[in-house]
Amino acid sequence: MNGKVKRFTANTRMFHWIHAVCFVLLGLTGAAIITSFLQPISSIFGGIQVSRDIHRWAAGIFTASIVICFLIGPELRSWAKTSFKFTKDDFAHAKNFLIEFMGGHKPFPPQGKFNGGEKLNSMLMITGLLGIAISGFIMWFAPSMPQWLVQWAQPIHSGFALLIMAVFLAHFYLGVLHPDSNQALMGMFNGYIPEKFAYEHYEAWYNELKAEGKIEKVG
Amino acid sequence: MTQKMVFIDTSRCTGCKACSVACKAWNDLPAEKTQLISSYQSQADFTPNRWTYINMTERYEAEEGKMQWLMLKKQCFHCADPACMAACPSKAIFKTDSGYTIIDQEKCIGCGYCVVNCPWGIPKTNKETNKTTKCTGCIDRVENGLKPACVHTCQPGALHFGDAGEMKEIAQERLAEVKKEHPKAQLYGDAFMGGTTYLYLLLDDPTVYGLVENPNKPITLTLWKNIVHPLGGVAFGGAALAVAAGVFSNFAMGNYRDRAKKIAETHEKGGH
Amino acid sequence: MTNSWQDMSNTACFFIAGSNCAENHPIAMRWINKARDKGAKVIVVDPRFTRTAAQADIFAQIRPGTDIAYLGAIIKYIIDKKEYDEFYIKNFTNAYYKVSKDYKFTDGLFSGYNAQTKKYAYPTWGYQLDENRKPIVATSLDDPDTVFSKVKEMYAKYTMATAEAISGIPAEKIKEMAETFCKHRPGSFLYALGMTQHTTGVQGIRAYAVIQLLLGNIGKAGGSIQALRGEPNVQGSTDMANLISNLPGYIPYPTNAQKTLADFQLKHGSAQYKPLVALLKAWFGANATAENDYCYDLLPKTNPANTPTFVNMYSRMGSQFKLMFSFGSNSLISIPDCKMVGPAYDKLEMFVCADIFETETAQFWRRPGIDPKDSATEVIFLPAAFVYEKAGSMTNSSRLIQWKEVALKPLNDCLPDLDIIDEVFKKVRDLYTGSADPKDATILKARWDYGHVADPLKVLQELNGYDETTGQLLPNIGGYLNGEIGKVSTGCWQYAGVTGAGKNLAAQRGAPDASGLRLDRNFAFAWPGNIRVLYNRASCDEKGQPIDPTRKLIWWDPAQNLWVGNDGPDVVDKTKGPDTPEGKQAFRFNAEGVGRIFTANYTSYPDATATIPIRSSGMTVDGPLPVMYEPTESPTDNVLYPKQPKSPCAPVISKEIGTADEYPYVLTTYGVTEHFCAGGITRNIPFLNEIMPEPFAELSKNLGKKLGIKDGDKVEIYSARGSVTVRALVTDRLQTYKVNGKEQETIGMPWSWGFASLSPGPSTNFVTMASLDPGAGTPEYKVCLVNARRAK
Repeated sequence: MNGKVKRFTANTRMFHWIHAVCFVLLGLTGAAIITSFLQPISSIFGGIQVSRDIHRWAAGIFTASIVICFLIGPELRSWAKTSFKFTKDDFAHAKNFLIEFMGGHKPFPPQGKFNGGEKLNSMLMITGLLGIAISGFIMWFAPSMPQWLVQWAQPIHSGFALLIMAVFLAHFYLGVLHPDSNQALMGMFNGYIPEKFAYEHYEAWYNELKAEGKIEKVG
Repeated sequence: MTQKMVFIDTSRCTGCKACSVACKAWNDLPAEKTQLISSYQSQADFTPNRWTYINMTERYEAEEGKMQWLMLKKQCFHCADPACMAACPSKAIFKTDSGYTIIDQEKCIGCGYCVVNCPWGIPKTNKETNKTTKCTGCIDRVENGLKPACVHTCQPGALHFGDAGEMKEIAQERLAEVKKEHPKAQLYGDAFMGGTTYLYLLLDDPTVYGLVENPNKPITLTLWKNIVHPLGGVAFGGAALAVAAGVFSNFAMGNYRDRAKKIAETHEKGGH
Repeated sequence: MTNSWQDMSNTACFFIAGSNCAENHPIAMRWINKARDKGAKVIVVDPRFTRTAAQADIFAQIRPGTDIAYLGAIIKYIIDKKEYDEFYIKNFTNAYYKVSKDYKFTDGLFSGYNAQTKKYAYPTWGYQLDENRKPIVATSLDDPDTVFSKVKEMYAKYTMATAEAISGIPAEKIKEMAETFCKHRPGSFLYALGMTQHTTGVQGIRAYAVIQLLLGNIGKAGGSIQALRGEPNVQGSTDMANLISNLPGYIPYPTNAQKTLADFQLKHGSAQYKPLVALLKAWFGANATAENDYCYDLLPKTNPANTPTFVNMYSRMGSQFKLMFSFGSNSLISIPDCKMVGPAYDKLEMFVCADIFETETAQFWRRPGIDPKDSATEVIFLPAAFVYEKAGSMTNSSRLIQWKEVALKPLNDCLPDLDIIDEVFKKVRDLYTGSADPKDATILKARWDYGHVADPLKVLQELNGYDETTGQLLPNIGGYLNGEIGKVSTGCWQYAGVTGAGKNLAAQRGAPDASGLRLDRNFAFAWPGNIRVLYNRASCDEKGQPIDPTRKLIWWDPAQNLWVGNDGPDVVDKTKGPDTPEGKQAFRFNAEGVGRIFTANYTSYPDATATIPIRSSGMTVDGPLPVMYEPTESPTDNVLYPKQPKSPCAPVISKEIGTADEYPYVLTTYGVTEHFCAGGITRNIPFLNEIMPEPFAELSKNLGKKLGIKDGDKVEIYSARGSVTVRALVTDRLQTYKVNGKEQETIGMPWSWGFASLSPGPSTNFVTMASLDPGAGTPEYKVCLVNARRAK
């Protein structure tokens, strides 16, 4: 099992990295705006007003990038669709997620292209981002919005921000720090993951690919 | 300094607008271009450079042939427990012991959260300077023994300034007097937001003047500051802790040291 | 004002009719509210529900120009219900005086009318006189010849129902106002331009006088007729004779019929002779001697047949007038039917304008639609100093002469008016030096000595007056009154004593007095003789003791044999007790010594045979009693006097007169609190432009509906004379009302805008009517007929 498997298209990777950069920028600048304690973060960007501008630019680019990606390729549409189809097998995977997370292993049923843990991550992210984008939009144009709506937008924006930042930490850990699952990281750079890793983590998907003869040789 | 108060006796206000001119003159605020809207009113709302103005309400009861022209001088209420202060993420808003609610212009970042959470929408953000401003209560005058500029200029005696206790007494006396003619007359300001430093005597229900009936700190503000932030903080902190635990656990299990070996090992991790 | 601003705090009921004091005299509300704190009532009569009306206990919307209809009904009410003060009218008014048998009032005209000249001859308006030429006083009010009976007769027709039909005020409301004002005494009338700017303006104020004298509301703390003057020093300018019929101190202006000082004395009496001589001494100093009639011949005389009063002088520019000096007047937009003004100035040889801004008047040659090349007039603009940049005195409505110092230095080349006049005078005098032309003698012989740089204090001192023998300032008004004719001077006799014996009393700023009546006699100086409540003798009973123990102004002190009090006693002689003829007089400057309910033609003489009179009482040229006449442009007939519907004497200057068919609505004009008069200053103050950015027309919701105009739309208001387009305020503050059974609408417009300034806007006076009060010459700004339509 020394082959490689194409996991992410260029389109998806581009979206992911735009998202990632914007996310970090939004997180840092947002944190600087929302608490005086974290306001010093803003000095990285050149002050609180620059941070506010960056927050809005990043929000705009980020939102626009989603729209564009959804329009030009089918991958995101199917990803979003799949993410919300949480099956019994996904649940079984998620159930053992904590053990996996801590570096242990417990068997789980064969997973599709996105396993239960990833689906969980995606669901939280998608929901959070939707909430944060809508509430952010309302806050951006506060003077022309009903006051009560803006008042509701504020806790919603903060709440989702904190939630997806928590999710982000887990995602970052699994993608970069976790000694086993970080094998998938390359998938976000060149699009390929090791055949073996695919077999181990997404057996159902792997079998599909194999049936279609899509396992590529390395070198 | 003792707790101060401005008592606004709307029954005595003639709507001459001298207060709004005195405010601009003292605070060096530029004049703004306007047009007549209705009644004799050209100032529709607060702006970053308009901290007080007169709101005019015309009411006609055709059956009795009775006309009322209600005047309401509007400015910041200087709440004892101000929503703006709770909403400010930059700790720019503070209370003085004299009862004023002040926006520290150095600390203000112009985010506008105070604007949204003020029950009356009083503070306004200047888009160019990114600073939010509102009535300062002429704290610079008051702390030097002068009356606020608006009070100082008021000719008909609609504005009174002094120690809070004394003002409350005058307000009660005037209320008793005015009630004879206007049974719905009431004080506005003492029963909410911890009690306001600017206390009104209204001739009718607050809604007649376009004022909120029972102004409150928005429930969303409490939700935001007292629930969402702590909970979100816990979630975020929890995630951070979990990550740290994960790294430690993997380390302890030798997963980092033996990474290559473990990856190479052919064992079926799936559900077989 | 008979009283003062502060004295309003003593009033029990305010009758505010013809004043919008909350807007135009905001300071009034300070004192009115102090009275309200003590339970005072406020009645407001106005064509619109104003910011003053918003403070009223009773408000009545009146059709503009019909005040005398409802005031007549109130007079009738007072007489019918016997609400008049019997003691007061018997002792302090001419109610019991018998009117000449020749006096008649028929079909709206008094006896003595000349239809050709549109003027009255006064002889039949006199009293029945005894052998000593003193009025015969009846023993009973019921005597058919008494003033009281004439009043009763005149207003018998003024029923509540008739008053309602004419004025549009419901009869019930008039009754309520009458009851309230009779019940709560002392009461005060407050008026301003709302009452003066009519062809019946003087008579409207006379109606107040009749009511106040009947109710005993004059000469008392809180009882008054308060003329709220519109400008901080307009009382001062009136005192200094801004009207063509006067010299300073209200001395009648000599006409060409009075060729010598003796002629003048014979005509106006010794009471006017003395101040005229004192004035001539002030003006010509040592040049004025008994031998040369005190330079009386150097005083230009007027020609009554050709007197160019205000407004009608514009038809004489270029012919009678070659040069115009305009000081702080924005006549281009302030004159009614103002399209006449610009072309009139084009005909002048030279126009000099002193102002702090380049007002519309200053740039009349640049007015819209005119090529500056077409105006041959040489125009000179003199930058003037603002009020805070010049020292001097200002006299306010309370007759209060207040001194002020310079707060700021004038900018650049700007100069105070006094410096401008002083420089011009000195230059002219230099140019005339050596001239033997008699017309130049007035300038050459004048005593003009205000210093190298004119010192305003020296001007006030000239008004105060000097003992011309010693050169010392007169110490008080007694110094003038007791001074020998020809030995004392004063530039305005009422001001005598203002600088005391070297102490500028106008500058004193003492604390309120202990009486609690806010007479404030230690604050500045009120003319005459620092008296704060005029005619205050009328506040005392026959023993000279205060009638109202809570409002003690003056009293006779038998121990000292002297009139004393909290106020300065307004008596002929402080040592003459209440049992003497002099000690009974409450109205010492009237020939009769009493208040004149009926303005009779009367001249007092020292005895039966003397040829030189003491004084003549002033006349109301259009009748001894107020009569309800319709305005020049009226939407209806005069139901009281169908044969004489309009003022028989009012000069009508406008050429185009509209009718109700074409112009069905009544327009009334006014100022707003945010702008001052013609706006020459205030429209250049951005703060004020923010709070009142533009002119407008106010109209009722009914009219708005009829014309398809919504609040905030643009509306064109047009009369027979002109048209303006402004923003419409469609409001409940104006209501449709009924006049003689027909529905009627009033439209209201402020007039403070013009084509220049930071905030230009259309001038309402293109629409208004130039017709004048026959006595005062005040234009009828308050009423004309217009039509209206929606505009873009």
